[in-house]
Amino acid sequence: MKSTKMLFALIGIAAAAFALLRLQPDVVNIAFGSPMAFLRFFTIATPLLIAGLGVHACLTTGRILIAGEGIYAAGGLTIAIVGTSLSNTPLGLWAGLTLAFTFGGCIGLLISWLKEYKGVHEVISGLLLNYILQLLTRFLANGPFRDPTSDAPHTRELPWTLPLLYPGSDINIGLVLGCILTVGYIYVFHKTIIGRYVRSLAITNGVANVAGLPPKRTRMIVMVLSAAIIGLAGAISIGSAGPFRRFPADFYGSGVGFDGLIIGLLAGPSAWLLLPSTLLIACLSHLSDALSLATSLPRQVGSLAGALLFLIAATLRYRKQSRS
Amino acid sequence: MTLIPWLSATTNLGLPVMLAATGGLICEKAGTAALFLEGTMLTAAFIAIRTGGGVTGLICGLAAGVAVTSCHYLLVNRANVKDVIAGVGLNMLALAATSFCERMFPSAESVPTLSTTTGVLVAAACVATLIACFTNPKIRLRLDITGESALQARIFGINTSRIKLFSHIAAGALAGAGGALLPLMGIGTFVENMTNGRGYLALAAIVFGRWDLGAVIAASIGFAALDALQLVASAQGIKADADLLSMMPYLAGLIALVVRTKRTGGPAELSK
Repeated sequence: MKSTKMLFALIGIAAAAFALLRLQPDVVNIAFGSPMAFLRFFTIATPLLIAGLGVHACLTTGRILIAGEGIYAAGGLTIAIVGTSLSNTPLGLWAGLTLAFTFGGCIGLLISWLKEYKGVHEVISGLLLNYILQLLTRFLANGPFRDPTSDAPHTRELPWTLPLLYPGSDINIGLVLGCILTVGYIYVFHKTIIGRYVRSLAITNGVANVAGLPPKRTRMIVMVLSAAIIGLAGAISIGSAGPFRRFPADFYGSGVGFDGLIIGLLAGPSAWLLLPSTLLIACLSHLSDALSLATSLPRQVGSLAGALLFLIAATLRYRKQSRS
Repeated sequence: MTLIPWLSATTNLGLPVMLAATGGLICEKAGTAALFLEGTMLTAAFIAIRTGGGVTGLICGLAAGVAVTSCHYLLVNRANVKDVIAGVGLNMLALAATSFCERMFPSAESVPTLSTTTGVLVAAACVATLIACFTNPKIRLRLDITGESALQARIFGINTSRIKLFSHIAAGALAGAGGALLPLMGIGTFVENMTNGRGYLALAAIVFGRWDLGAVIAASIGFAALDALQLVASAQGIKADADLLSMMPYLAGLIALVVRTKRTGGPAELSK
């Protein structure tokens, strides 16, 4: 029933988008009119897929990882700092990715420890951490690690990019990594016994307890891995070619962390729906960019549509259990 | 750094946070997590400026706050959405909608503002009403029972839907007044995301104050005093990094949650 409602909602959104695009045919041309524009769409989708995967993994255990936006920025800054510090060695790229993964995991560990052992709600601590990480990354990118040769506040440019899959485009191994992670995630959480026990934590501790999985520790491990994956998404975004390759002080507002939350929520209990949800949100982001180029509409139209999607998905998928 | 500018900035920043925190307190007492405070304040700030500021802006901001929390009530109590998720969704929608409208229809003019005295009087009137409500045994008991167990409240014949609706309206009015006062007691214009997490600080103040009105008000003022440090430091030309100083209230909020959350005995319905 919920899936039917969700399908109707998605058809409604698609119809609205179609009607809008009929009025503005230039938008489609800008967004998907050339092979490069089409490839750009996949560059946008790559960090969204990985961030959405991280949030979704956490949601399967009944926890909401809302600090994604801050963790994403922290991951990006980590690879920028490590990459520019180790610019003379080819290990810089992999060290940056590994450290971004580790740093993201550390933030996840803090949030989950606060939740499981101190009773602090993960949403409140996550939201406060978002602000802390926003200000911290801005301070570091604008202060100690600022590029001294530039007037704009950002770190120095990375001497390399992630290996490209298609010369001339921005598509890189991040997309392959995202696909591998998604397939691995779907396999572990849907096809293995241990994955099913972990998913049961969203409803009750009992099943996992019987299976010998300590609920608190399992939830902590999943949140640490989820946050680590989101940190990796931030690192991939900065390590890509295209607009970044250096960490801008205002990177926090990119919205990928919150979009990841929408993707995770839209996918609901099914990991298979991660891919179409990611494509939908990436399409929304890509089209809103094109719309703002073609018309005078501000880019925030994408955020507005995303927020509405979040509420629709929440209404259909994230309901309280009746206690009557 | 002189004391007077700091106290003045603390008052200007503290009143909105305090009003939002007291509004959120009523809602949490009735068993609903008040995650919507940030979005409510932001919407109220936007509407207060767009309706011309002054007393009219304050009243319109208050009404906008009630409208946002009424949406939250409908989502949580009619559509059965989890309160935390509904709150986060409304916050995202408020941020996106106000940013979109601000970019689409920019307004550079500043509107008539309110004096600090007016703000203090509004806050004092709100707090006095709240104290009257919380000391009224009938109202207090109904709120407490609904917050502890909605099922038991229904068995006692209490209309929990009505209690939750009234608590949402009161929370919306208070958070709306707080949000409206933010630009009206300050610069007199709206800036994108101008609440900048103060709604979440209000929420942290509720938890830190252990759902006690006096403690919640004190915690709100304490967070605002830390928040004011950055404003005063930059105004006084003190060499300190603005980002690091701005981080202090959030860091204090997080530490406060760690110190005070465990076994605080908040309303039982909140943890369900």
